[in-house]
Amino acid sequence: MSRILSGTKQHAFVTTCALLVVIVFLRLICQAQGGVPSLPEKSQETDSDRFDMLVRDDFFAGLMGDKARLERGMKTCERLLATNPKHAEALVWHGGGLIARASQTYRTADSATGEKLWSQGIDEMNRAVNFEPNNIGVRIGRAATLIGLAQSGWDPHDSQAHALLESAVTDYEQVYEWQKPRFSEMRIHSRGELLFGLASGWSILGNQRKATEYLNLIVDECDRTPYESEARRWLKKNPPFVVQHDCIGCHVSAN
Amino acid sequence: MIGKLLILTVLISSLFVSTEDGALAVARKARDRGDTEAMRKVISAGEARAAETSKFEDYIRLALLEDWMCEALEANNKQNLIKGTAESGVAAAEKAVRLNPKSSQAHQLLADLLGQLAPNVMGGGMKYGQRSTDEADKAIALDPKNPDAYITRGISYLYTPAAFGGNKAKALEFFSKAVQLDPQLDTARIWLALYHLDAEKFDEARREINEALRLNPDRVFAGFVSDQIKAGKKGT
Repeated sequence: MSRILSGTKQHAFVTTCALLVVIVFLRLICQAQGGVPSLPEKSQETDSDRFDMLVRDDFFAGLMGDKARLERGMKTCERLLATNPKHAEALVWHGGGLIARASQTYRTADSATGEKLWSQGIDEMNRAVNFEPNNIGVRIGRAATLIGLAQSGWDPHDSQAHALLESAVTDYEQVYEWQKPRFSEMRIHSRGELLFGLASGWSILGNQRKATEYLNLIVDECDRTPYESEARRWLKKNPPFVVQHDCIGCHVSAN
Repeated sequence: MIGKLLILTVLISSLFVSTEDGALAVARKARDRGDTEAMRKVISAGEARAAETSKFEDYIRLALLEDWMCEALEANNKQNLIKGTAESGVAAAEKAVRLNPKSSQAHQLLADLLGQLAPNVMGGGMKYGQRSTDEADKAIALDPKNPDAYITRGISYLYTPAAFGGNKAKALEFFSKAVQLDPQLDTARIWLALYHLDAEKFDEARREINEALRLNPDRVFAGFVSDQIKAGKKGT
């Protein structure tokens, strides 16, 4: 019953979205770096300079079940971090990889190791943002992961989780501020996912007013797209509601 | 003399079993009506007994009671207590699995309690979702005639994203299988109603929830789903 009441009143029970949120965040990093016309610190980079181009294929394959490729992606990050422990992008990708490893470990009922990997992953993402607070990819990476995690389960009495989610939503708002001048020129996926992340994050935190504001913004900014239709469906619901959103178009092939 | 003692022992055992079943029947009623105080008393007794005996039967009963308590708490909107209850239930179910790894019911309860825990912990889907599914699969493999195991697995199919193994057609198949195995099981009917509600097939949902309420008119869970169906139909 918990699941269905939660599903309608508070949370949907996303049973085995074990790796989905991590994939979503990795996609968003790529979308942000590839699709945003100007970034605070990365605007002069070419594709060949971009760190995510180096590791993302391995991470995507790994997160879809290819453990060898996940390990290869992790090793690439670890080599970089060995020479530069403050490499923010390597840290945020590595942190996501640790959360994926944690998820695999929980499955084996080894909760102690799972908790350890989980905490390390979150800690690495926190440190990545501290090292490069103006790196849009790093901030999206951390924020999208935390919002995704909160969507897959939430304890409103967990003050640490509350602080993490609040910081993630605040980061997303900062990203939106950065992107605002050319927001309408961005890919629809980047626009829709960012705004749905904000609507979802605020709704989980219990701020229905802000959640509704962002849903209305989706209607305006994502006109005549599946994002608009989904936002309208949520706006029809009686508050309080928790916006659950599965990334649209984040279909990762295992091949 | 030995014969008399044996008869006496059998009589006492029968009385004990009867009393235990009575306690379970009381707990089931408490679950149905959302009576958390009654549930708490039965659970306290169950905890003491399991701690005293360390027997499989006592841990499996305790896990079942904690699972029911989650439903009773939800009926009273005591969401904040579900996490702790589910955690206690998981611990009891894990103990039961350790004591009897071949028990389908133990694996099914572990799966269900992990499912209860997941939405109440940050990242709970990632932490407990796959394990819950694995445990439900084990429960079915150990006893292909366990209707509760099919319900638990069906719930997983219903709520899991398709890219990660979710399959609504399979959910329908598994809930239907549970009904086929035990036509008197109101829980299976409730989940069939929820499946149809999810698919916005309101007439089918109404039919199933009416059947669930016919089988067990007192169950708050069924009443809640019935209200959801009415609200959903109104919204179309």
